[in-house]
This record gives sequence, structure tokens and C-alpha cells, in this order.
Amino acid sequence: MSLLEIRSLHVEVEGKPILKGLDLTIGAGEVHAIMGPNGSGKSTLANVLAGRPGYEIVSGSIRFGDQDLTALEPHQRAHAGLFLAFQYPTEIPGVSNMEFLKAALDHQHAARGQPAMNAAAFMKQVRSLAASLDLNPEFLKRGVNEGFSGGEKKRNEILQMLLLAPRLAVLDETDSGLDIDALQTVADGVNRFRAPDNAVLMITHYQRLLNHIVPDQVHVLAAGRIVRSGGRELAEMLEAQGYGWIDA
Amino acid sequence: MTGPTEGERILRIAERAAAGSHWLDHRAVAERLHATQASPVHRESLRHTAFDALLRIFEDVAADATIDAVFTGIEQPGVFCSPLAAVDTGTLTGHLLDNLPEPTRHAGADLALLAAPSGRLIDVSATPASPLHIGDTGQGAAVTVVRVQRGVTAELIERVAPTGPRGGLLIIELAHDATLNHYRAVAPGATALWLGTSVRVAKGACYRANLIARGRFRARLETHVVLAEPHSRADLTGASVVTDGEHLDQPVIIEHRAPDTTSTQRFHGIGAGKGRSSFNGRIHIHAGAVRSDAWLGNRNLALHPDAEINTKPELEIYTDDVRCAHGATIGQLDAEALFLMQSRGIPEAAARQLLAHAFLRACIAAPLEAAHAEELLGALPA
Repeated sequence: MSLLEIRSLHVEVEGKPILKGLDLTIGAGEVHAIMGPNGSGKSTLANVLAGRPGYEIVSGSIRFGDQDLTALEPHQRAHAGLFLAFQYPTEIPGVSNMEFLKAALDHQHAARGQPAMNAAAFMKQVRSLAASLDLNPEFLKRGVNEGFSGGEKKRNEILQMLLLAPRLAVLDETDSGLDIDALQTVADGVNRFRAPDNAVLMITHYQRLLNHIVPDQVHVLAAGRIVRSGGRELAEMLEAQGYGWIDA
Repeated sequence: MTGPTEGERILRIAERAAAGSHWLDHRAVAERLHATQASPVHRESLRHTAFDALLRIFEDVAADATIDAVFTGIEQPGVFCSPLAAVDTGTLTGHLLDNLPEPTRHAGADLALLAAPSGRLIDVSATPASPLHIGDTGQGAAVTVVRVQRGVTAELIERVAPTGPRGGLLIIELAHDATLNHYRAVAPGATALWLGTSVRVAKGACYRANLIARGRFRARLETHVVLAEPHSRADLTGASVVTDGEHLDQPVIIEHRAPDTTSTQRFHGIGAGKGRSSFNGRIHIHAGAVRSDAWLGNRNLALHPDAEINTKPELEIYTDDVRCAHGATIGQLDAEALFLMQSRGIPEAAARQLLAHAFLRACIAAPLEAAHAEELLGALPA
């Protein structure tokens, strides 16, 4: 059974149609990449999946496993195993990373009927993840993303993904603003995450991320619809020729 | 039938307290206060707590004054405590009036002097080994003077949880190079409270305060700090929550009277229910107080559609070559932060609580966190 199945999805933002009949199916164990020009609807897709307010589904369906994703509140989508790595992670001064991560993990465990992780085991795991992502463990005491550089914020997103272990991780332009070393670190994190029972949906402008995280399928999103799907060679063609040849 | 005028009521408060008490020249205080009645500044300063309501507090407390303040930590080396009656009345009155704020702006300080049948002086001449505590649970009016002598560092922890109408005036005098870390927690309650704090900071001395409060049936907490000599400083932080049926009015005045003085104020407030809160932060930089550096920040969150929040920062600057900045906001919880938390599996209500707690805790110091923070946090919407 597919993990994510989107059928003929139409979405409006402030009354303006953005997604116009999008179809996409992702199976467990797969990595998909969605590429497309500015304004094609890439980030809208990510936000709709996560349930951000302001994105109105006009028609179509989104199945996540055996659930209707659109019927779930944002936190319930996380409980169901959906994770969105934000393009611009926001700062939350005053709520420490540790407190935030523990609250997130505890709520997810409780929703699944699992026991809460004890504090010592939790801290050990978070510190170990931070080290693996080259994040200064001292930063974990700071407010969420507070004073983090762009690269540190993106690495913090990957840390959250690895800790929360979702079934589907949606990475919204996670490569933007990263230098080559940070890109490698983030890609290593994503590659470590890959497993037969989960999946990754990468949204990106550039082919360079796909040099580090090799996708099973590449899709081109233009004017609110998937207009081409193929293997990695499609991304290379886009890199070489741009989006001009795509007929939306 | 017309009732007594405000002037007559002021005199009556003074007469009651003066009966059998000779610690203060009540007439001098009453005359000074009476003289302010016609001032438009006086009326404006009491915009959020009517003078009539203030008078009523002091009429009530003067009529049935049973001060029940518990002082602990005063019986240790370097700390000396005595009734103010032991000090010469004329000298004391002149000294107090010279150092209190103008009654046009903080009328309650003079009213508290009038209403208090006695006062107490705590003199700190050597750095105490442990904090001084004032646990204030009774009703009535009280005046407390805390003097911290040259070079001494002291910590004062004040708990205000009156059971009846309460008026209190705390006068703090910091000598050269003295430091006072002052913590105060005001409990919620169904009775009216007026509390004044008047601080004078001498050369090189430092006053640090963390003032947290819940709203009450009616509460006005006035703070007045005078940076009287060069290189003195004051750092004030505060957190408050006002919920259904509560009122809290917090006027703060910081006066820079000397060169090279520094002040910071950071106050966070939450309107958690149908109540009224107001904050008026005033920075007054006098002529000649060059190189003064003052900063004021008051942030407020309205978590309830019927919460009434007023904030008014005021700058009055009479010299060049100063640094002075202020900001005041009233807003909602950050929608982006809320969504980030929800997207990680934290339900909206819990996310709101986490954010509101963080907002308050940014202005709650460690000595108050464990024992008293819950009074504020517990009042937030579930």
C-alpha cells in the first residue's frame, strides 16, 4: 500500500488557485524529489500536507497510510507520522530546544500509546544526534532556533526529524542557504533516516541536493500540477536546460 | 446629600493614623497631598485607578489597621531593625517627603504615609549571609524603610498576600556602591491593594528588582527609582497576569538625576481573561544627567478577546548626550511559533501554554520561580 496518495488536489490561498489538480503517490522506502520554478506551488504542497492555516483545499484527496490526512489537525498529522522540515524555521525565544523536543516527543508517544522516554535517555539521544549533525550541544539549551545561523536552523530541523522518526519527511527547500559542508551534513542525516518503512519528499530548486540524496523519482511541478516524472536524469536535464522547455 | 470632599477624606485618614502616634508629621504630608488635587497631571496619573478608589483603600485600612507583616532574616549580624518612631519626627518627615515621588504622579505614597500608624526601619550595615524576607499577609497600612549601607550587598524577598485592604510603602535607600536584589511576588486576591516602592540609588550603587504580580480585585503597584548620583543603576524586570475580574495598574518612574546613570526595565504582561491591566513606564532624564543610558521594554499578550491592556511608555529628557530607547507592544502569540509546535505533534492548547509560559518566565527570576511562578502560570487558559 502506498504511504502517501494525493489525487487531483486543488488548493487556494486567499482565493487564488495555486495547486490545480496535483497527483502524487509515494510508497514506503522511496525518496521523491519535486522540482519546479518559483511560484509553481512547491511550498504550497508542503504546507498543505502539514495543515498550515490559510491553505484551502477546494477539491481532491490526500490519503496518508489508511487515514484521510485532510481530516487531521496539524498535531494529529505529526502523530500519524508526518514531518515537515521548514524552509524558514522560525525562532521561539524562551522555549528551549530541549523543552520543545521533549514536549513534541512526549505528545507523539502518548498519542501512540507508548511510554514517555525518561529524561536521561532523551538527553543522551538528543546530544548524540546534535553531535552527528555538527550542532553545538550547548545550542540545545537556547530557545528554539534562537540566534542560530541559517545552516544551524536547517540542521536543527534534521535533528528533529531524526528524533521524531516520522513515516514521511517532507523537506521544503532544506538545501537553500546551506554551504557545501552543511549540505553534506544535512544530506548525511537524511540518508541515515532512509529506511524501508519510511519515505522522503524533497522539495528543491536545485539539482545539487540530489547529488547527495539520490531520489527514486523526480517530479516537475509547474503551474500547480505535476507535469513530468522520471528518474534522476530528469533533474540533470533541468539543471542543464532550466525550466523553459517544460510545457505546463 | 453630598458626602465629604476628597480633601476632608484625606484629613480624616491622617487624623485616624496620627491618633496616639507621633512618628510622623501627618499634617505636613496631608497638606502636600491636598495641594496636588487640582493638578491635571494628578488626574491623568490615576487614569487606571481612580483616586476615589485609592482613598477608599486607605480609609478602610486606616479604620481597621492590623498590620501583619512577618520579617525574617533580620536577626543576623549586620542587620538592625527598629520602629521608625525612634527617629526624630520632623527630620524623618522632611527626609521622606524629599525622596518620595511627586504626589501629582504617585499619590499613593503620600497616602500610605498618612494611613500608616507606624513604620519600621531595617538597616543593613554588613552583607547578610542570607536574604531578608518580608511576608505580608495581613491588612492595614505599613511603611518600611530599608537602608543598605556603603558597599553592602543584600537580597530582599517580599511576599505580598494580604487578606484585607492593604496599603504599603517600601522605601529603599542604597548608599555608595551598595547593591540590593529585590524580589517581590504579589498574590491574587479579592481585596484591594496599593503598594508603593520608592528607591534612592547613590553613587556606584545598583538596584535590581524582579516584581511579579497577579491582578487583584483592585491593585496599584507604584515604583519610583531615583538614580541620584553618578554611576548608579537600576535594572527592573517584571511579569504579570490579569484574569477574569482582576485589575492591575503598574506605574513606574525612573529618574536619572546624575550623569553616567543607567536604567533598564523589562516588563511582560498577559491578559488571560476579562480583566484590566495597565503599565505606565516613565523615564525622566534631568538637566545635567549627561551620558544617561535608559531602556524600557513592555510587552503584552492578549490571550482573551475581552482582556483590556493599556501600555504607555513616556520619555521626558532635559539634556543632550543621552541614550534612551523604549518599546511597548500588545499582541497575540506568534502564529509561526504555534504552527511549528503543532507540526511537531504538540496540540494547540499545549503549544499556547508553552509559549505563554516562556513569555512570562523571561521576566521571572530564579528566587521567585519555584515558589510563586505557578500563581501566574496557573492563571493562563488551559
